[in-house]
Amino acid sequence: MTEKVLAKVDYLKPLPDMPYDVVMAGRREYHERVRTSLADIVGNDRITDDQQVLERYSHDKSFEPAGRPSFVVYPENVEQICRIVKKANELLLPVVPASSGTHCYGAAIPRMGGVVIDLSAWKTIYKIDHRNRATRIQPGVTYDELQRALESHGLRALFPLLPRKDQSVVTSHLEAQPKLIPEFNYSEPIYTAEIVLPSGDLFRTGTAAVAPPEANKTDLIGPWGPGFDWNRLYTRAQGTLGIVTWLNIMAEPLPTREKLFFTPCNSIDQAAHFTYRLGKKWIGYECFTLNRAALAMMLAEHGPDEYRTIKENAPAYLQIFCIAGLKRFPDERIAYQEADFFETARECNVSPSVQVPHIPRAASFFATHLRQCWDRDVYWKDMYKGASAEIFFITTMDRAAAHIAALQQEAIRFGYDPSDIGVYLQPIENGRAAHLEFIIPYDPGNAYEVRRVKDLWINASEAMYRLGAVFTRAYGYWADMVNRCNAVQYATARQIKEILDPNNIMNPGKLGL
Amino acid sequence: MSLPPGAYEALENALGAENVCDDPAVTSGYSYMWLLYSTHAQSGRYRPAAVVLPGSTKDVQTIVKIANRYKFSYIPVGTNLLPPTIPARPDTIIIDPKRMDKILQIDTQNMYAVVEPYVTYAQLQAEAMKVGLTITVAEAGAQVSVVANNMFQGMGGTGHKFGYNRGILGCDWVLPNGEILYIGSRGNPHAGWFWGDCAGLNLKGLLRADSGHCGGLGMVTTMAVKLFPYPGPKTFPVKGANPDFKVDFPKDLFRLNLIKFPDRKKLIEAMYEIGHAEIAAAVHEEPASMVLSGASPSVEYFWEKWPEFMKQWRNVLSVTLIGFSSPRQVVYEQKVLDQIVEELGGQYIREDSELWRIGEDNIGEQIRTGLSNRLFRVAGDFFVIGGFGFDSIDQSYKMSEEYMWPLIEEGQRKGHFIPDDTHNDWLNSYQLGHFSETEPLIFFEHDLDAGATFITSYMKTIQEALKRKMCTTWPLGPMNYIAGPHMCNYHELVLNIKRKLDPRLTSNPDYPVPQQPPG
Ligand SMILES: Cc1cc2nc3c(=O)[nH]c(=O)nc-3n(C[C@H](O)[C@H](O)[C@H](O)COP(=O)(O)OP(=O)(O)OC[C@H]3O[C@@H](n4cnc5c(N)ncnc54)[C@H](O)[C@@H]3O)c2cc1C
Repeated sequence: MTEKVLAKVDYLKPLPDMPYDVVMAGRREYHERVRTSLADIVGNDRITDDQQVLERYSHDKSFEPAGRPSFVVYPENVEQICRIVKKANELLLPVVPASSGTHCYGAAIPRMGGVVIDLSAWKTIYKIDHRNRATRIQPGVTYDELQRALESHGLRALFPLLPRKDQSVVTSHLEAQPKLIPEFNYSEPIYTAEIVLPSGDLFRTGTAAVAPPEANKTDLIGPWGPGFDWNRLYTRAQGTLGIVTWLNIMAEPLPTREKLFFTPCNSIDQAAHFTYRLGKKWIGYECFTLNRAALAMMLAEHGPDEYRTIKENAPAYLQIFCIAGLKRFPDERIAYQEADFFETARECNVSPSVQVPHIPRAASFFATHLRQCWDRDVYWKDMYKGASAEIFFITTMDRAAAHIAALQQEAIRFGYDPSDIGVYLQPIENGRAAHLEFIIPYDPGNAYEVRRVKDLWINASEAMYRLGAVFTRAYGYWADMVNRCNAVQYATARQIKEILDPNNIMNPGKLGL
Repeated sequence: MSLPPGAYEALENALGAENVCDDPAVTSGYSYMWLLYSTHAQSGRYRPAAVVLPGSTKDVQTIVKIANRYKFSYIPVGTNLLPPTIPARPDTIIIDPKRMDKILQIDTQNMYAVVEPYVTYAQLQAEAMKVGLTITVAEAGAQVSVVANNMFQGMGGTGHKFGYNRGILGCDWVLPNGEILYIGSRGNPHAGWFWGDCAGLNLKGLLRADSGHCGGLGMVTTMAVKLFPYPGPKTFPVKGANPDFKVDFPKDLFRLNLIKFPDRKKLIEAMYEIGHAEIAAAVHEEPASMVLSGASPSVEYFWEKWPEFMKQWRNVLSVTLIGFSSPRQVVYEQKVLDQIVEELGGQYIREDSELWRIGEDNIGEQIRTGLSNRLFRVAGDFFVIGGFGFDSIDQSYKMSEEYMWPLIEEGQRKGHFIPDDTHNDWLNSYQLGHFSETEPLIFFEHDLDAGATFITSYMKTIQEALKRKMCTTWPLGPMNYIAGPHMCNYHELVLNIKRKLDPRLTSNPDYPVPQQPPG
């Protein structure tokens, strides 16, 4: 038996009854055992514990605390992922899937160490199915890559607002980022999926379940079942229930002609009212509203001064609306929708136009950027001060004004200029609900401001919750906030997690699980 | 058949004696399965031990807690259309929500209604239309429960525009342990009913699928459902009475097109083109048998017309255009449709023809269905052949031609199914043609032989689909043991979830998947 040597400094003492060097040796042995096990599966060149690399995966843009993985692996195929997950069950090793280049909300920060499975290099677009308006893609495919490929088939991807260049389309769909087009169909754009379950077994949803794609005689379109609605259960699960290795998603006809309209509004209620009316008419494609700060963040190319000038000139709120024609009689389609659009505008007392008054560049910016990733190095939300905090949730448009007022109050309470907070209102499903997003820019180099904005972010999130915000994408702190007030949901979610992931290896700690 | 000692009294004490009943005259009514008579010929054995009528969510919680304490099981029902509502074992009570029949709220701005489980489509649609909204009504009929149907399939005549199985928003769901699980926006006590996805793990995924949990995971006591824009009159424009009625929607906003194609392939192409052009509100291949039985004032009328009608009514696509934004939309969409029809060699059925007269009520059926009961009059029994997987329009066509119709013809040769050589189904487009499903209708006698032939064909379609690596849907209860092993063993995951959430098997014990495979 090894002689016990008590560590002198208490806070270094890892375990009360074991000598420090034994513990450290044990840890090293464990680390090496994990490395060997994983390297046996993926090969030595596809696993790393390089400190600089690990550091990159340890934090992201959010206020979520840092957390370091022990390894990052870059598997080559699904079989390797299955084996890694099986091995992780043996070793009780946390597994964190990651597909995008930049992470924003803490979902890919390992809470309990373990191994990050990085799929950002998985860039295969397996199929573009024009007839069934579908495309089957791997997790590393980005919006620009997908859009380029789809356009040559006369299709378009369902874009969120100005995604990052390295944003994974699969993650965006799994995390249910709102799409710019509030068409009823597009709030559930996933047809079928392949998932490595927490057990390491392979599962496929919907009609894909009946055979792997190569042998499957369906079109991999049917999203329901089998058994339960897995697509729904896995959406927003933040990798806690498994690893998605491909998605078959909607891809829609590419417009042959389109027209953009900009409607200045002096209040969010006015924009909401107009948007509600248009939703009931079921016309148009992209439709969303920005406040002047958000608009200025997007349009300013030359720093804060230009941001301020644009902000001064911009209307309080701007609704952006696209009408498009398809293959058949595109001009007639645009004409009837335009007539109905303007009739509605008159009834709502607003004046749409093809230009944004005083901001000539706006029209051409949106004409090129609705189906494109953000193309500059600094992301638009960060352009004003270098970094930004975000609060977003699902609500209804008629509640937006109350949310905005409450957020502004919180901003004042924390000494933050409310006019610098960006507002993005995205109607969903013809306006039956909406994604409301606040962008709070801050200077990451100013410790005082960082702390203040973090306090504002927490307090404002709580205030939004009290006003009825539904944090469907419950990242980090938000998960604790919602679980706290919904005990049965939380307990039931844990039961489901226990069944699917009895060793709690899949991204443990996320969603409070 | 009786409950454990003390259980009946506990129910009476909790609900009032007038809301609990074990009189066989009443309970027998809950044990007869009119549908697929053959499979449930002995279902009288499973008369429920009692029927209880809760008046509120609290009552349902109490019933469930009593069931757990006294160890008996319960089945929540809507309007009892489906076989899973029949007790499959003794000591089972039925929770009948007849007293929970209220529309609690209609939010016109955010387009949803909050309903209790005994609210029917007819009831809800009538109220919704008054405020310029509507809902897609299941072809099962406007008399079914909105809550039960949305958890089961929620697919209706206007599914091309309003979707399939996409209607559920916030819910209050009494779990098998008696606790209330709040789904979607209901999970935030300050939010209300407007949204269906949960904050945190999205447990809405357990509420629905291709056929839901069939009461096997508790009872939903209140549900918010999606409503959709409706530009029509405030009351459903109908003249006459079932079965002899006519619907009369304003022509500038609602236009029915009945189009005959030279063959089924052309009809399928038209469905794709309509989807890609993003036009229309309802798109269905309408089989002759369905149209004629829906339009027949009597059985004699049907049989007199059928031989000739079957020859005339072939490859007919029904397309309803609705002007959600204005009459301009209908004009535009008609122009697009005309172009598609011309390209594919289709011909409109003329409005002055006999065929039109028989088929014109189709528009009414798409918006508010009432024909399902009429389908049973023709031969005594009726259903659709099984295995109609929900996938693409092409897939619907392939399934129908490759193995469904050959199996139907087998049944016809035995003389058990009515003669029908049309090879036309009720083949549907959902969500602007993104999805489809097909239902070849079978009419057969309400006797054991014909029923047995039907059930054998039904099971064969499921097996054929799996053999060919095509997809079967709708495997209810024990059938999951046939499909599961071919489909990533999903039935085991479902069963594990059932065992976890309902360890004592109190809530419709054999659903969604029974504990053991069928013997
Ligand atoms: C001829 C025919 C045609 C059909 N066509 C269609 C169609 O076009 N579209 C479609 O969507 N469906 C269709 N169906 C399927 C089905 O009948 C319906 O979907 C619907 O469920 C019937 O409603 P109901 O009120 O009778 O439900 P029930 O039969 O009473 O209940 C259905 C199931 O749901 C469970 N259940 C009921 N209420 C609750 C509750 N509150 N909480 C939890 N579980 C509950 C029951 O236990 C049962 O298992 C059809 C069925 C038939 C027989």
